[in-house]
Amino acid sequence: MLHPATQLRYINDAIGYGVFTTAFIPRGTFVWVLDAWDRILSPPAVAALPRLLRQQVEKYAYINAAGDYVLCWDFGCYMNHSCEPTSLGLGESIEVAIRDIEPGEELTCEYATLNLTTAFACGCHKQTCRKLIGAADLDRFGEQWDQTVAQLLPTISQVEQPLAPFIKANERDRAVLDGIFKRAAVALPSARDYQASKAAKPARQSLTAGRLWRLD
Amino acid sequence: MLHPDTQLRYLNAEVGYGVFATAAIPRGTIVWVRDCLDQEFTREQLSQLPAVFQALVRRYTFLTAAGTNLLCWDGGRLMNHSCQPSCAGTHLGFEVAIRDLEPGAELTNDYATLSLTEEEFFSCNCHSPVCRGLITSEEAPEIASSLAMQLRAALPLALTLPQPLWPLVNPAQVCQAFERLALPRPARLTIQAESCTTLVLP
Repeated sequence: MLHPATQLRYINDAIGYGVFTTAFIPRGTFVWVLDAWDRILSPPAVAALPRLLRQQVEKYAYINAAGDYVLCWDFGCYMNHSCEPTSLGLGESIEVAIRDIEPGEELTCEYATLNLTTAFACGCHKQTCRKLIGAADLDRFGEQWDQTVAQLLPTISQVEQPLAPFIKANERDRAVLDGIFKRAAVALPSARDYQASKAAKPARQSLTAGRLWRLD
Repeated sequence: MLHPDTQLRYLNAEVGYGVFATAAIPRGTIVWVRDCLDQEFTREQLSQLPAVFQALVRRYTFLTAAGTNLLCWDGGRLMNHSCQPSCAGTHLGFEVAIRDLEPGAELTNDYATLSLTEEEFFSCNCHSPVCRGLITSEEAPEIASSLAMQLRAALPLALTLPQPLWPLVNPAQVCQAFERLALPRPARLTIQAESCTTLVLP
């Protein structure tokens, strides 16, 4: 689920929609969380869909560590990629703002962390644009992205988190979140832990589907 | 799933988003079809959701004839109410444009026939000449029969138009819809849709 201070806008025919902020969102805020209504579809389930729907899932869903498709029920599926994104992943169920975001800015994320099946040409026009974005970028930049997220930890418990009641977290993520909000030392998961090809089978079984993590 | 020639647009804080045609959509076009990515919730499943979801249930789901709540996976959940709707037929499992839609026209439903329980009502600002002001489920039978009249005129056209959504429509549902609207059942026929798929009526 997207942060409530967001709005969907149609950008152009090439890009399609994008998600924009309607208010200031401070660094450390969760801008998207996995929730109970987001659909998790196994690859065989996607393969069995009628072609029209399969095309939509392939366009709008991302792939999680277990190799399943995640189709956001809300406008989360319209978040675009940027090589200088406004948020990065924290565990598997959260996108956290890595800087202050002004009203009217587009919310963007890093597609290289979302198990891309094919590389795509990026048109974000940022200074550090990598031009071609692929899953292998995670090996090159994963550590840098992990460090960026680690630096946010102190602020996460200090800013308002309207999405906290909606988070559907697996056990590992829930433990991390508990630690962050108790300001305890936490072992932050690396973005590289969520590569579908590297995910261990038990990780998939430990998912507590439908169980929600709550603040306090 | 919504017809591909549609776009979501933000209207204002009160109404939120709406669904708009990006190309001409003639009367009889299938504009929405219920599909397997839509989520259906029973009362019991809804009661198990955290309290924070209850407002979302009211805003984004509609009540099916079976008494379940349906959450469309795409922009279908954002179709607004109008007292002079451009689309109807939700309970048939698919919706049909009941008048010609110009590019930019909004796709709307009459909520009285679909999403209101007896306790629910709302005041309408659709500004149509026939706006009823207060929308309640009490008017549902009257509205439903007026919409059925319009569907009777629109549905036969469906068989003659390009239908990008045919691949998601169950042919048996089409036959059922003809029966429910007391229309002569279409003869066995094969429709060559624009998308090169065929719909064979049983």
